[in-house]
Amino acid sequence: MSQSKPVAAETPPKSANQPWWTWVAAVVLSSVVVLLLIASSYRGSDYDLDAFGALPIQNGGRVKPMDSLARTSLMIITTRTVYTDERGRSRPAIEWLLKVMTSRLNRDKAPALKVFRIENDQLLANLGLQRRSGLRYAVEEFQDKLGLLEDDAKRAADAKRAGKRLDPYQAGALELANHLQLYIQLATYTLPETGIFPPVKSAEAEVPQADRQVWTPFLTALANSREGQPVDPALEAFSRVLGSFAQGKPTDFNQAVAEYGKLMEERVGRAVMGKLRVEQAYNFTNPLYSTLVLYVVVLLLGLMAWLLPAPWLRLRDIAFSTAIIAASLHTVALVARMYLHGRPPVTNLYSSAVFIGWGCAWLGIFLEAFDRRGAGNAVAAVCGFLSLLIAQFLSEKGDTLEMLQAVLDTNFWLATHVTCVTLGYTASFVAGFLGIGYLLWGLCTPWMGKASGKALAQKIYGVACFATLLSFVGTVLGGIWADQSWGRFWGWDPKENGALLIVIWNALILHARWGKMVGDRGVAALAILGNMITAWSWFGTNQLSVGLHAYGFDQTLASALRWTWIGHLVLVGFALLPTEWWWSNRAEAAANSEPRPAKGAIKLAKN
Amino acid sequence: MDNALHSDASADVGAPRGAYPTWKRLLRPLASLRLTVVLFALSLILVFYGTLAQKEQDVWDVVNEYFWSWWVLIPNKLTLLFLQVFFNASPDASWGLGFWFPGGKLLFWALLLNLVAAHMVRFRFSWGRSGILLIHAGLVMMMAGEFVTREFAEENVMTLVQGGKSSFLEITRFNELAFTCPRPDGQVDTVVIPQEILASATRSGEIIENEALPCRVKVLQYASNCDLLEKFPDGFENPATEGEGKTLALKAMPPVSGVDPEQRVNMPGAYVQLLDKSSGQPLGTWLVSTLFQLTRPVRVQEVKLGEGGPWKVALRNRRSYRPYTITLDKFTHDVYPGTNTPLNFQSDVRLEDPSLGIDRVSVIKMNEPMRHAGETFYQHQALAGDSGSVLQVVRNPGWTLPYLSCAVVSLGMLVHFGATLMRYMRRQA
Repeated sequence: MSQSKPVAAETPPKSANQPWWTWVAAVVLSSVVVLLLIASSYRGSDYDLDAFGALPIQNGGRVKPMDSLARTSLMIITTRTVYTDERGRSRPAIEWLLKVMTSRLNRDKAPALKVFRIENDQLLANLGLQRRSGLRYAVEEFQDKLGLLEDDAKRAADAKRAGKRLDPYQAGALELANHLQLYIQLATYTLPETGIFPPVKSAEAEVPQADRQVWTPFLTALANSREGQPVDPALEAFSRVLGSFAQGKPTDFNQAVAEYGKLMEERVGRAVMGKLRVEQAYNFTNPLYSTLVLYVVVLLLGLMAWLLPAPWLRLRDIAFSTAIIAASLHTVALVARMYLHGRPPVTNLYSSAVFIGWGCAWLGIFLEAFDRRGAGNAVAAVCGFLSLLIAQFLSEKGDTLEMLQAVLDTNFWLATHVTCVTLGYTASFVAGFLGIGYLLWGLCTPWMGKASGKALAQKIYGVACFATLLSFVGTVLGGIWADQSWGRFWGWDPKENGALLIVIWNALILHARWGKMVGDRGVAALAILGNMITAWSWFGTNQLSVGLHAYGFDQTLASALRWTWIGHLVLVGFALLPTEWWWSNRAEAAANSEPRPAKGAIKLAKN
Repeated sequence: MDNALHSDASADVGAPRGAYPTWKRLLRPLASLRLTVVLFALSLILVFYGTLAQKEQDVWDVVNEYFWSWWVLIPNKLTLLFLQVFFNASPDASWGLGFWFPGGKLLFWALLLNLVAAHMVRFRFSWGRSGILLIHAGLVMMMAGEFVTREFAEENVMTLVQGGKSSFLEITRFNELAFTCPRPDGQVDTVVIPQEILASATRSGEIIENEALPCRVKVLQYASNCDLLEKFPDGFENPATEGEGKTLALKAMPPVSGVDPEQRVNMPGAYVQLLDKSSGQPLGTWLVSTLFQLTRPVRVQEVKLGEGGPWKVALRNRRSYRPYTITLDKFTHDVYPGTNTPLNFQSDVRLEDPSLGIDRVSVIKMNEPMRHAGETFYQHQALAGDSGSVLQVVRNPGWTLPYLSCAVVSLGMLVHFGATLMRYMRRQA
């Protein structure tokens, strides 16, 4: 079999051959990219927006910095964490939040901000709006049509509750209505599950427990003060903050924020405040976005190394080093999220995307380290990029550090079962993308030699083994968790079944190879099909809206899945084309004028 | 690859035929890896449709129909459903009929046979193959565990109100119409009619009579799952003449679908007409439902039935009495601060078992069950308004098998794939 044959003809380049200056180049390149990205997100202001952004607020069951509330809210409404102000400048979310929170004191500001993203043409027409680039509109532009929007949204909500599928107009109307509601709740301090003022620390409590207690909402504090109860000094201080902002007095604002911050620190303790600052810094530097861009850089470098003539081959080394830097940054982001959340890496769909990208990147780098022909690098970059893109999309749904349902409140099982299953998904995806690489390389380029094709196929096989191990162990650990939490090892829940499908599929690939039913090409094709199954388990089962792991139906995800499946089916179709049509085979056959040239090759030679 | 177990027939063509005993030659087709792959593919399709089916059916029905059956008729509407959800197929389309497909049992036995045959035909022990042996042994163990669970495990619930105690389990999947009458000595006279008899009597219209029963019973309507309406729908003719039925209307509901996030179970209800035991004179019609168990306070319906009494009538879960008593000292339901998102459900209980001389307190919460006398108690649900706790009580003689088999298979995979990886890395180095 393959192993017995020496592959001397195309000995893969060794990592030891990588000159030191390629590392320097990679570090410089990555630093420039990351610093540019961070610098471009910095926006100065006379107001100390950073200090305000670091102030605590209790929302959705956890204490978070104002900055996070601002970013998640703006992200939901406008799908970005910046907005364009009246003068056309791009400004940070926290400023938008301040404007919204002071909109009742300063009526002309907030409603004029073009933040509401409306994509549906019919909805735009009904609201009397012109389609414009960016698709972002201000409330005051469609104020007179709010009644109509409300009616349509109500009807859409009823239809949704009745289990009907919404058409794009209904979905758009309902979405816009929800966004408006969020905006109004922020403007009127009626956001549910939200408290602004932590209770005063009692003298005897040694450890401040403010993050475990219920905080007072703004309106409650206000009502209490009107009923003649002693006024909470925090309410006064916070009112000064808002008042000075509404009046446009930066010096007063900065002073008021500093005072309020001191008050908060007394109540919630230094540790909590410190953590909030870490979260704010994480938001600001947005390391996952930098990572995403770096993966693109890696991919571009790899492509250049591949397409440019030989002297440029060192680009491949730079790409490899950059991939390691990107994956390290990815790791830093992951660890920071774990610290902020106090949880193992995977707790919801968003974090699973981040984690899968992380796993794919390191697995790709691992493969590349043993065989420096660019395949592992390409997989690391493509999978890292795609999964972070998916994560980016999922982050539009709200807080990505959300609290967990009671049954999930167990770090042990989250750390073992969930991590393991997610790594199983990861390995299956890596195998699938290596399969796609094999196909594209062999079919669409003349450069896949026999030995290098074999080596790549062997990698697919190895990763499939790894995927089988992880998905099996992960699935069984899930069973054991289920046994621990409700006494049933296996419940045939859709998500469990999804994991089972991945196990069976990987086992099928391995047995088909062992039984010599498929060769290298077949393993690649099966691995590509594996992507479809993994995508089903990851996102598809949720769309059915049944089961303990379900998060509900989402139109965008459903159509993304549809195109993923169609795309993969097309790829598999190409993989099934007769081998003599593959460009690499024709090229090789043409090169070997030796016996038994393939039919296609003869035609090619004649042409 | 080094493992002969996985080299198929083609690899052995060179060997002389006589070298194999006849039984090996007969087993050979069964031991084929091709068969393994086909069976895997079939399992894949079965699991896929078994998942889709949960969109509309109760998970237990799906398990029975798809995974614990020899054959299953997969309706085409499931394929349509998939296309509707993901490929925008018209929601108004309807596809009838379906196709027959091998069920879980058939595939399970076929895979097992295939595996055993493969090992018999090609078995030759070597260290290189010890991993594969471990994997397969573990898988067989796991399947055995699933079989034991399926055949012998019991899943019941125990309902406890704050401060209350109980010494019986409720079997939620079976119900009974119970007539109870307290005796002076503290015991309770109990006569029950199981749900099967209720359902069949509804269909045939016959009157249920028995020596032990305090009256005759005619079932006017029986719904395997129902809801109770406080407002009568238009045109509703109330069959009930007595008790709760005078103010509540029974509405038959479709059986609960899938493993829904709330883990609901069917809540049956019925209109029963009671007739005098000797004369057969109608005494009135009552509405009964297991939903009455869940209200606090529990709705109790008393009936006057000739001599003795007063009797109580109720549709309730079938009961199974235990030698131990559990008291709910305290039930806790914590939420994340400022939200309604549950953080923790916890039952502080006291367990008394005179037969074993046990009297201890214990905490049962999410992911932390209590084990006693071969049974495991899990925190399951909260009663309305946190007035009490529902424990899931599971007896599963095979509960250790998944743990063992998991360890064995994982070890096998580590050995096998680890060896493969080592070889690969050595070659690359």
